[in-house]
Amino acid sequence: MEEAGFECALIHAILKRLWTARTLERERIEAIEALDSEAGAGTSKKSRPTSVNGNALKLSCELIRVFVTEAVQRAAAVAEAEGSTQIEPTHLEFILPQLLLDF
Amino acid sequence: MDVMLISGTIFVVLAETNDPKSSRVIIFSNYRESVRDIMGALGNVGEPVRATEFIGQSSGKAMKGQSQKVQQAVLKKFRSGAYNVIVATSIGEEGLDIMEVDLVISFDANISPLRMIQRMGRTGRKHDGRVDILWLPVLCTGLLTMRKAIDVDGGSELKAYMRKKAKSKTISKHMQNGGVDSFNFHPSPRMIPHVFKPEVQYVELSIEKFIPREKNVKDVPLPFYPSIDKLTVAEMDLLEMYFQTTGENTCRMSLISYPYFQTFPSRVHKVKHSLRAMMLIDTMRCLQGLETCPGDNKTTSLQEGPCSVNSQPFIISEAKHDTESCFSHTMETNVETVNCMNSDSHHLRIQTKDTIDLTIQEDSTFDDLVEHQEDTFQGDEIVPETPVANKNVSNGGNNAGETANLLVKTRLFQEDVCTNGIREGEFSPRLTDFITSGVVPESPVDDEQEKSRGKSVIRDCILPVQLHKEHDTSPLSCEKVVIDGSTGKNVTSSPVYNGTRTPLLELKNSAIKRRRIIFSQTEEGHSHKSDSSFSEESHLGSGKIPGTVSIKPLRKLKRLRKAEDGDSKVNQENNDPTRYKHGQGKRKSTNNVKDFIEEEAEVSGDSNVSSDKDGEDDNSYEDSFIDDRTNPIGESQPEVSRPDMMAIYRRSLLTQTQINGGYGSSAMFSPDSVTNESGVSSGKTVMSHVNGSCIAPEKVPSTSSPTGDTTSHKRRLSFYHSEGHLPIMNLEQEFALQSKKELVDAPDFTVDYECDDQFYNDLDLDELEAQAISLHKKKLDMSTQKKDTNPFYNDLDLDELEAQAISLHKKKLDMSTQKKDTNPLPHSPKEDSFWSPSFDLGI
Repeated sequence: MEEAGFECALIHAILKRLWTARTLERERIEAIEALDSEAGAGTSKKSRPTSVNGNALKLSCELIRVFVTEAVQRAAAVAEAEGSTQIEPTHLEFILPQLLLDF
Repeated sequence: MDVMLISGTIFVVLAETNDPKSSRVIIFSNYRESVRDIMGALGNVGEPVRATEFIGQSSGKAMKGQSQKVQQAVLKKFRSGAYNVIVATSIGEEGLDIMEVDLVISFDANISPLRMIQRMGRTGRKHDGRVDILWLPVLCTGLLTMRKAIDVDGGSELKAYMRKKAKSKTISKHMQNGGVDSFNFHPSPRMIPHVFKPEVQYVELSIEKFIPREKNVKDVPLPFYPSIDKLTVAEMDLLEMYFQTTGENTCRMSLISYPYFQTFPSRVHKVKHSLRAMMLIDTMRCLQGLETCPGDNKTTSLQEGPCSVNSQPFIISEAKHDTESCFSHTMETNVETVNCMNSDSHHLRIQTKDTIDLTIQEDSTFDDLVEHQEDTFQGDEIVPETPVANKNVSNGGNNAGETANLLVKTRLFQEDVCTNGIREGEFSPRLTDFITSGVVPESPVDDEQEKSRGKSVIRDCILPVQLHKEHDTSPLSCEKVVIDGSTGKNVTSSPVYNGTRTPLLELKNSAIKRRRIIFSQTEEGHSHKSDSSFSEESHLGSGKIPGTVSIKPLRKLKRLRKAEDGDSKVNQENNDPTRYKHGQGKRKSTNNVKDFIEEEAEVSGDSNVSSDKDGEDDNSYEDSFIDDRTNPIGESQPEVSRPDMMAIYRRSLLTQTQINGGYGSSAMFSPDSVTNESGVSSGKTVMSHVNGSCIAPEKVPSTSSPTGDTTSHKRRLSFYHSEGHLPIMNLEQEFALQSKKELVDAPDFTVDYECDDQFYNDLDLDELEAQAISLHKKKLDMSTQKKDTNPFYNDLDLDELEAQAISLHKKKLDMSTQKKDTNPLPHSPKEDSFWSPSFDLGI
């Protein structure tokens, strides 16, 4: 089985989506708090969305790949034990707590 | 004029140095504003003075600071010679790598000697330098106001400078020879244990190849994939189902769906289970009552799994991660609060090693209650219960700390944890209700009975409160409730409980409750080890504590309300509880009960139990007992009750124990479990009902000769009656009435509900109190005598007691709210059988 990983662009797109949403949230909160910082600029460290390094992105892709693989494999084990050939979300719920703790 | 001085000095220096080009001057000033002024003045000087300012980074409204980049640029130019004068604030005094200067001018002398030394140290390094200190000799009105502030009187700056200089000199004198001459050195113990003997080693570090530190790790440019496959329709549907584009996941994965499956590690593919996952598994096993030992965990951990015992502090933090769902949330919030929350989570891993330890823990949990431990009944306590000494020792200690200590020492069995969970559940709702509403919770008998029975059945305990599971999960959800309560949060109790069980715990009460829970846990664990029946009893007893609390306060409130002189009543009530405070209901016996029992003993002489009259006594007692409850509890003021909550709580515990002890001491009743139960419950109810007035009645007979045979007889009967609760109550009332009105007619109590008001009004609380005190002393004597009462408690069926107490209480409530004048006889049989606040702590 070839070790196919996620496409970095895909992961990057997902992460960017998440970060921009978070940044907007933060900006909204900051606006609510009405911070008027003298040096405050739109591109201050806080309000800038998170960005990712190239190497970091690669590593993240690998980590996500491992995570998903593990989740699928564990859920598959549960599904096999149950006798069904398709993994259902319920199977995933079986293993979810421990899986999250393992990562 | 200072500026002129400066410029003049600068000229001199610049002229004197061999190489005017390479001479440097630095001017220190306290304020940025004066820096600006100096800059302005120096600007007029012109060449060869090239001055610039050097200030800090903070940007205020008036002046913007110099960022680090700007600062570094200034220093660079200063080094190169573009500037040869720097006007700096305190930023330039120490630390920054400013090249050595030839002249230091201190514009202010009003600084600490240390800073002056730092300033002066900017020069004189490689070659001689010069330091000029400027101060204002006289008050100059024409100067800036800030200068004025410095020089209040003429020459103060100079004086201050001289003072500081002298101080500096003194200190340096002291520091000569390493300070041995002036300071007393403490022989401090060695910080490094003697096991380690550091030795000097000569190691030659050789670096084979020098790898220069690169400024930035070479960044791989983000790969660019020009084409991204489109998602298939099926995939799009899948996405829609699980990941709504709106951002709200309609299908959220639930972490708590299959708690049972979390009790064992799932199959792993490549990533092994982490320590946290193993801890979660352990926790789940504990909570669900599966046989698990921490030791087993160590051996059975799939992988590294450090020793859980060794990593106690680790567990503390990890325990939070264990319970992912509700617990994690609550636990994390409790991190800061060093309360029993943490200890609760630890308790899951506590081993009972030492009774003493347990008792200490228990003591700590009841710090308030421990106060009078020693004063009262030391001999009464059952062995498993903490001895008085321990209690006193731990009293007032930091509960969390103590529990932490205990954590290290002890471990709870898993079964106990389950029961503890139940106990917690049982505990919190009642206490909560009691606290918030001051009303006895509906507290359906079923619930409690189930819970108390369910203690052995709590295998399906489920952690999260959000789940709407069966009743079985109530203990855990209660536990969660408790936890949340301890955090002070308002957690919606599990739907299992009636609505009355909303855990609106006050922090203190919750903390107290938690302590009790911990106590119960530890005690249970211990007792479980030693005596299964006892543990069960204790469990039951502790479980019943809340009921007691709930019931007793009710009565108390009623009394408060009824008594016109609320203050005196309250005082008396407060006094009595304080007097009768005991560490734990289980161990202790309330003075009131003991007094009462003693009095009984005195009056009755010997065993004069006549079963014949029990029935009629019950009826009559019930009536009077019902009288007590005529006034709806809701009318009582919750505020008044709140401060007395702890007192009530304590008293309830005390009553429970005391009644038991009383029974034992009196030795008047055959060891009938039912009797015991009722006695216990009756004692409890006695206590709960006992606010100053109750105690007094007990004493009344002793002090004032029994008004009549019937009275004393009734007293005895009530005392011995299996349902004794009511009779006891009646007797008390009787006594009070007798004390006041000297009524001989005890049976009259059956009638009036309105009697209560009058009854209370007529009470002479002071006298009652005095009597109570004497009774208490007697009980003290009694308590020391009896020790063989313990076996009784083992047989007590606390479940029944509790159920009975609850149902009885309910009935009373109903009756009181309705204000029926009807003969309580119809109720009496039921009440007789049920009215027993079965909050026996299994003492």
